[in-house]
Amino acid sequence: MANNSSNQSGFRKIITGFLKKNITTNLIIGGVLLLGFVFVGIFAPYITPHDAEEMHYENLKEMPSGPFLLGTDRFGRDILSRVILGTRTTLLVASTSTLLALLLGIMFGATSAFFGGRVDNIMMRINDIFMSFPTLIFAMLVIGVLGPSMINGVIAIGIIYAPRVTRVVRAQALNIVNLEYIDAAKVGGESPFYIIFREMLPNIWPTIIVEGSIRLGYAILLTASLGYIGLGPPPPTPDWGLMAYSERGYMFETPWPVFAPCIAIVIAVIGVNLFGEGLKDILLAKGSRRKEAKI
Amino acid sequence: MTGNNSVSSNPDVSRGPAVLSVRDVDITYYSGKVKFPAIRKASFEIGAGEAFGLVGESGSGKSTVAYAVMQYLASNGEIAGGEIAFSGTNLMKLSSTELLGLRGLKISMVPQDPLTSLNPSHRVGDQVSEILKIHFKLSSGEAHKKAVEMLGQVHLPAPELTALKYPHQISGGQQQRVLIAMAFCTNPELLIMDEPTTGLDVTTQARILDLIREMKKNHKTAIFYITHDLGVVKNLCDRVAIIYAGEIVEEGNVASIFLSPAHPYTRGLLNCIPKTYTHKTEKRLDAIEGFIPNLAELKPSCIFSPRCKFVQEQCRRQAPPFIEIGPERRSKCYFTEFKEQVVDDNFEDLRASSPSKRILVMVDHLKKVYPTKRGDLRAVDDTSFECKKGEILGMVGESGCGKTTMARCIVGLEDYSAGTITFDDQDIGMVRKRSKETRRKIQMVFQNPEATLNPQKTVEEIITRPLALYNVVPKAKRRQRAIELLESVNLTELYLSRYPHEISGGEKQRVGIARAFATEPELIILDEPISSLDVSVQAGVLNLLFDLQKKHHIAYIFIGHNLSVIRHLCNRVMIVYMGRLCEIGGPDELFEPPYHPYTEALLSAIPVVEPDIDQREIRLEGAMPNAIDPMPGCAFHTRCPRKIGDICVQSAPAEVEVKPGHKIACHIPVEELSAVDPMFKFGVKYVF
Repeated sequence: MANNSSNQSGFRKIITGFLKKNITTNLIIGGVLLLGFVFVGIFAPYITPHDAEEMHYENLKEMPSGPFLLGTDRFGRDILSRVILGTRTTLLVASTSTLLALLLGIMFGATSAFFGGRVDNIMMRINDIFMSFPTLIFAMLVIGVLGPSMINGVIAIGIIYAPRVTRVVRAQALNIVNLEYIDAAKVGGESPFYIIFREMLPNIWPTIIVEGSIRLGYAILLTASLGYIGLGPPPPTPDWGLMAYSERGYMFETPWPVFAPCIAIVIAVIGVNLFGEGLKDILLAKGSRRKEAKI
Repeated sequence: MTGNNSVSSNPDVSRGPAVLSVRDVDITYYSGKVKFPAIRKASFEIGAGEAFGLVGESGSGKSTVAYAVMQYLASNGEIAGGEIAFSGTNLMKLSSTELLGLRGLKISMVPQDPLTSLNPSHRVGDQVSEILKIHFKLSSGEAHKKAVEMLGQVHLPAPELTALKYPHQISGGQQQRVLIAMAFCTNPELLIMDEPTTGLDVTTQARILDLIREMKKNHKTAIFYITHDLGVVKNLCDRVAIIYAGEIVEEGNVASIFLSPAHPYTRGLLNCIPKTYTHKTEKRLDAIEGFIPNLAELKPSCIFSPRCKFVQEQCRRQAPPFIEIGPERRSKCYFTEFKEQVVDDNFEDLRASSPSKRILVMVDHLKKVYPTKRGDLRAVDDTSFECKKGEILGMVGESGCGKTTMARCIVGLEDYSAGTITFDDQDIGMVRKRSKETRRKIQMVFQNPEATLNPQKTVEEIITRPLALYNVVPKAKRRQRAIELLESVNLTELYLSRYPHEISGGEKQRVGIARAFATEPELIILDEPISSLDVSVQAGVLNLLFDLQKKHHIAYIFIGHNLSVIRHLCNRVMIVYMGRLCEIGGPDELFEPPYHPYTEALLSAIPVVEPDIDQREIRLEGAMPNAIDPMPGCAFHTRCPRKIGDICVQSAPAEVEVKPGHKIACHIPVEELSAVDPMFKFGVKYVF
C-alpha cells in the first residue's frame, strides 16, 4: 500500500508541476515529437503506405515523389514505409533498454549510497570499470558473446547505460541518506530494503524520470549505431541504422535512402532531449535564477 | 568584571541626529497575481552611535526591512510607500551607482551565515583589503596593512597569519569576526546586522557580542541589529522594536520594554522564554497559541488579535493606532494595563516528579573514535553516566563536544569503539543487532523539523508505520490510534492526510514527537528538539514534552545548548566538553557554586533576558582544540581561565563527588571551587 502511494506522490509532483504552469516550449515540442514517434511506432503496420518488404522493380532508386514520398532504395522498397517500421524497432529497443538501465541503476545506486563506506567504495570502483569501456566496443563485446538479436541488443544497451544511471541515482541518494528521516527510519527499526525502496526512492523519482528521458535519447543513438555496424536486429527487420549502412555505397547517387533514416534519428533524439529538458524544468527546478523572495 | 548584562541605556539620554530614518514604509512582495504586504507602515529612527534592535520571529519581515534599507530587496519585492532616509538623503531616490558608493562605505552589513558569506577561494586578508581598495583607492600594500590592523582590532589571533588563511581554515566564530572586520573597516555610519550570532555557540556568541559592543564604542557606529533572540537584544541594544507579521507593535528603550512590556505580543514573547533563574519552583511556560496570519488576506482588525489573550471586541473591529505610552515608548495596542493571572497561581513543578531508582540506561567508559588520516578523532572520550527510569537527563555542551555522537550511540545509529551501553541490563550495540523489543523501547526526536519527516509521506503514513512495524495495535485500530497520538501532541485528525510541506515547523516537530511515542517507548532521546523553532513555538513544544513525560513516565535524554531550557525541565544535567564529562548534577546545583570552570563559562555566556539579574563575566579564549592530538590531561586546560598548572596538562582529573549525585571533574579542590561568587546576582524584585 505504501509503495502505491509513494508512486502516486512522485506522480503527484508531476501533476502539480503541470498545474503550476511550468510548461516550457521545450516540453511541448519535445512531447509532441515523442508522442508522434510513439504513435507511429505503435500503429506502424497500419500507416505504412506500402509493404516495407515489397520490392517495386519498376521503381528502383526512385526520387521522392507522389506514390513514394521518400523515394525507393536500390531494391525498389518504399523508404517511408521502412522508416515507419524502423521507428517501431528503434523505440522498442531503446525504451526497454533504458528501462533495464534504470532498473539496474536504481538498485545499485541506491544500495551503494545507503550502505556507504566500503560497500559503496567497491561498488563504485566496479562501476568505474564498466564506465571506462567505450560504449560501442562494450556493446560489440556483449553481443559478440550473446549473439545478435533484438533482446541481446536490449541487454547490451541496458548494461552499458546502467553504470551511468547508478552514478546519478547514487549522487541523489547521498543527498538524502544522511537526512534525519532516514535516521528516524533506522531508529524505528526498518530494514535496509524498506528504507531504500520506501523512504529514499520516492524522493529520487523526479531525478530518475529526468535521467530516464535523457538516457532514452542516448539509447536511440546507440540502437542506431548498433544497427549500422550490423549488430542490431538481423535483416529483413527494418532498422534505421542498418538502412543507412546498406545504402551508404550509393549515397552520392541517391542520397535519400541514407538521409531519411538519419533525419528520423535526429528528430527522435532532439524530441526526446527537449522533452527531458522540459521535465527537468518541472521536476528539478531549483527556483528562478533571479533572487526572489519565497512567499 | 560585572555588569555586562545590566541594562545598557538610560532613557534620559537624548539620541543624536537620526542616521537612519524609516518612515511609514510599506513593502510588498508579488507572487504571480497575489499581493503580499510583507511590511506595513514601519517607522523607526536610529540615532548616531545607537544600537537599535529589531526583534521578530521567522516570517515577521525583519530581514525584509534590512534589505529594504540596503535597497537590495528581492526582485519580486517593492517598496510601495514611505521613505527611507540615510543621514537626510532619501535612499529610494538614489541611482544604483550612487547606492554602490554608499553600500559598504557608509552602510555596511554583517550577514547571518559566515561560511557562505566569505568567498572560500580568497584569503581572508584579501577579502578585507578588497573593500578598502574599492572605497579608499588604497594601494595593495596599504590596504593589506590596514586589513591586518582591522583583523587585530576584532581580536583574531596572530592577525598577520590569519590574514593569509582561507575561510575554511578558521572557526565559525573567527569567520564572523572577519565579517565584522569587513563591516567596520570603512568606518561606516550605519551597520546592519542580520542575526550575526545565530549560528554560533553561546560561548562564542558572548565574545562576538562583546566585540560588537567594543567596536560600536570605538567607531561610534549606529547599529541596526536584527534578531529573534530577546536576550541578545537586551545585552547589546539601546532601543528595541518588536515586529509581528510585518507590523512594528512596540518600540522603546530596552530597559523599559524588558521591565514593563506593554504590547500583549511582547509580553507573550517574554513569557515564552524559560527564566534564567527563579527562586521558586518552575513555572509552566506560556506559549502563544496560533500562527502568524496569512498576509495575503489582511483584515481590518488588529493583526495580533487572533492570538491575543486580552482581545476585546474593539480589537476585532479596527486595528489600534500607535499610542505614545511614555517617553519614547510606543505600543500598537488600545490597552496598556492587562489583568493577568497572578503569576504564582500557575506555578507547577514540571520536572519529572519521581524518577525511580532503577537504572534504565548505563553508559560505561564509552569511547567513539573516527579514524582519520592524521589519527583517531575522539568524538566521545571515556564517558560514563546512567539514566534512571522515568528521568529527564539533560546533556549540554558546545557544538562538536560529542553530545550528538553519544546520543547516536545510544539509539544505535553509530557503533561505538570501546566501553559498553546497557539498556535494561542488556548490552546493546548497533540498531540492526538489537532485539525488536529493544528497538521499540528506544526512540529519538530529531533536531531539524524540516528533515525529520519524509516529504513524500503523509502524516498518517508516518505515524501508522511504527504502529504496524511493532504491531502495537491491531490493523483496524491503527488509524484511531494515530488520531489519538496526534491529539496527544495537540494536533487534530485533519493533519492525517497532510504532507510535511503543508504544515509548519512546530507542527512537524509535534508529528516527530508523536511518531516517537507511537511505539510506547521507555526512553526517548531528544536531540535539540526545539532549537530550530521560533521562541513562541518552542514554549508550546517544551510544555508538550513535559506533559507527555508526566503522563507516560518515560525517560528522556534531552540534548541542548541552552542551559535555561535544560534547567527548566531536567532532573539531572551533564555538562560535556570534548567528549568528556565535566560535571553532572541536579540543575540547581549547577547554577550554584561549586562550579566546574567550564560550567561557569557556559553560565556566564547565557544571554539573560531578565533585567534584574546581574551576571559575572567569564569569557573563553580560543577555540576547542583538535580532538585528534593526544590529550593526557584535562580536555579543558587549553581554554580554562582557572588552570592551576602542569597537573591540568599532564593528568586527567577524576570525578569528585561534591554532594551525593553531584560530580565535578576538576583538579581544583572543591573548597576553592565553592569559594567563588554565584554566577547570578539579583537586583530589583522580579517584575514580569
